[in-house]
Amino acid sequence: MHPYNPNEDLILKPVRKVGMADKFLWAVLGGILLLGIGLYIRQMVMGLGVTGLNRPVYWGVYITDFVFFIGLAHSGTFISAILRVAGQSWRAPLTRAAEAVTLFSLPFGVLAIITDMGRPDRVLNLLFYGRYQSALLWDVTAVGLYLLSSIVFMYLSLLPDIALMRDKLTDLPRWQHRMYEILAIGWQGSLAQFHRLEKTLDGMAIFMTMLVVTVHTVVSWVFGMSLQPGWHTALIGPFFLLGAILSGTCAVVIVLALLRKVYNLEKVLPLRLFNSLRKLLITFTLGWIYMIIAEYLTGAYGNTTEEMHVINSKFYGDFATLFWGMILLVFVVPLVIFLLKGKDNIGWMVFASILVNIGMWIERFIVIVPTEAFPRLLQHLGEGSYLPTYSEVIITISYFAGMALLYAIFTRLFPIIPIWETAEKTVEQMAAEAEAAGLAAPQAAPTDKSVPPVAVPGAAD
Amino acid sequence: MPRWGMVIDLDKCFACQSCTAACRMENNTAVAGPDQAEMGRAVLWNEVLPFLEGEYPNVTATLLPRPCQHCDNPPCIKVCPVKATFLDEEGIVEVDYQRCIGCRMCTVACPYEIRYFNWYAPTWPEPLTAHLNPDPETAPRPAGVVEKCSFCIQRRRKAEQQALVEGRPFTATDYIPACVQTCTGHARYFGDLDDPNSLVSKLAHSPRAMRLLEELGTEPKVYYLKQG
Amino acid sequence: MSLTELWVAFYNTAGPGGVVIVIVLVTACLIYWRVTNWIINGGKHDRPHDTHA
Repeated sequence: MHPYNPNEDLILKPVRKVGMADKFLWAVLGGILLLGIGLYIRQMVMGLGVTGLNRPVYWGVYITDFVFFIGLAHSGTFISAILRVAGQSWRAPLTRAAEAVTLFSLPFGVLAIITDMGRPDRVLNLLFYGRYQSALLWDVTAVGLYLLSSIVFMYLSLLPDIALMRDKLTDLPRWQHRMYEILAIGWQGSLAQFHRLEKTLDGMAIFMTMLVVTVHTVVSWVFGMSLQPGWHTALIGPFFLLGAILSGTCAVVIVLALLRKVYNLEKVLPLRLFNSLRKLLITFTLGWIYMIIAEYLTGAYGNTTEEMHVINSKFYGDFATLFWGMILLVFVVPLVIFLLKGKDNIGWMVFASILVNIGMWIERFIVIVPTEAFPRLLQHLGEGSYLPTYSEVIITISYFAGMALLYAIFTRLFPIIPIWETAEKTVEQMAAEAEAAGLAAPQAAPTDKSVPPVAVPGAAD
Repeated sequence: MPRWGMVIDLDKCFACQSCTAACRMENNTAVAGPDQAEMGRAVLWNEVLPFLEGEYPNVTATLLPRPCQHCDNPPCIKVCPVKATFLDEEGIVEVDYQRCIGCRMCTVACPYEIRYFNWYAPTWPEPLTAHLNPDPETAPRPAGVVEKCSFCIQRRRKAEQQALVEGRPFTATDYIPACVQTCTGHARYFGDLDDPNSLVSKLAHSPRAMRLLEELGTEPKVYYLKQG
Repeated sequence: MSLTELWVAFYNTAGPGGVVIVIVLVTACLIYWRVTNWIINGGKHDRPHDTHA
């Protein structure tokens, strides 16, 4: 049995039709991804020397990418899990689109770390010889568990809709229909199944909320657990966490606006959703500047030599442009936009969100590189500079292309708006209505083949 | 069990850098070349660091040879995810080149910046390739692994084997690293810090003795005798 | 071995970390598998008219 959703056809439309524009997009994105893979193979053969990394800047663009993509992943969990726990039902149409951001950004975070390894062929050493005293092992565990849990959470939330497609979309290619049949496992849409599913998602939402906090804190501790000035601060955990939620939520705004435009989903993604996100983003942006002030005021007030070398390089030294650019891009400009222009205006919201994400990438870079560039012993010698090479830049771009590619294909295989979660009537309500009307069985039984599939102008490809 | 340590007398050192050269010849560290060195990729297990204070003509110059400090509380071994770097029983911080995955967490954790990474497979200009140390323990490391000063651990092994062959017990004075052996000014000393009668032990307790970044609590085993 | 020695040995020996990762991930997989089965089997014991006709 499927919940009644009047917008069902609208939401399923992208799944029914794959056009030339899609194939062109996939080809372009795939091409960029292949370019990135090619450059990575070159790096594996020649060595990490093809990057701009050096002593003392041993970590650069790839580690920035790692932190950035893991941060993006927190968007999905924030919206689908944390807001669920908080009882914010307005989030329902957004959950799958946000979860998909999580699902497709996490693998690239992992890829970024592997790209940075000197000996990726020895990655299994982490399992055979792993030392739990190292923050990197905590990382592997947390991110691994997060990836696994995100996949399961996404899949369970998809189940009723996969079953819907199995039952209603009979005019699709054989392989696609077979895929839905297999993926739907035994889902029949009974009351008990829905009840159990809701309970499970409630439980998983709490678990995922705890995971979100753990994962990004643990990622930050790769830096926090060292002795280096600028890294060895207790605030680094909450700082990274808030930054992740900020950049992730902005990513969701961008993605939602795109989907709304491209798939004509205005009806199911109304303006007030963006207004709700706007309020959240104002809060997060203010929270972010609070953390920045706390961090830099404490450091500057203490005025220790090693801290000040790093802080001065950010305030008016080599990294000043990037640092102040970051403040403008993450805080000043977006806050003005959110407050003055963002209400009822998706265009401005998207623009501000893009600025925030560019700024947040810079923020990760600004945390990582200046501290490395001014190590204690070598501070007087003025050592430490870093210029990324084209390999690092193109490989980074290929991560974004890969993520976009996976996302685009996903929206053509599964409905990006959860049909059962945004339904007008739940299965429970429909059963109650049917009983009240004195009928023996509920209407529109899923395996009732006498109900013809809804006709769609233009066949699926 | 000896606890290996080093003492460097800054009054005797005149920064000839023979120690740096000897270290390279003994341990087969790669030659980065001028372009790579410009980028900051020179591999110098022992490096002489110039610290200059003041303006001409009131300049104080401290020229400090800096090997791995072989800390007793090393920040680098804590963070290695695969135990590719570890503290052995005699106090030497070793690197297992076969196990290192090249994550470079140890390189960023070391406050002394004494750890180096093989950005490319090692190469040497033609004349030097004829003078590589044939000892298998100093075999050139492949690209993608971390390396650093090992207090010439291969010499310890050779000295222990020599003592075994000659049928006598191995003593702490049987082995010294290449930098100590080569030092032109006889400024470097090496030995067992736990033996109260050894030269290093006595010098380490001298009023001139100091260690780098002591406030961090890393307990380095390389002592410097202050100038003047 | 005392508890302290056990703790130090765990942290300093190579290997156990990998075991922890595997245990965590495998346990999670098992739990998710059981939970998914539990959800899907939710329809099997209901009254006939609640399931499909």
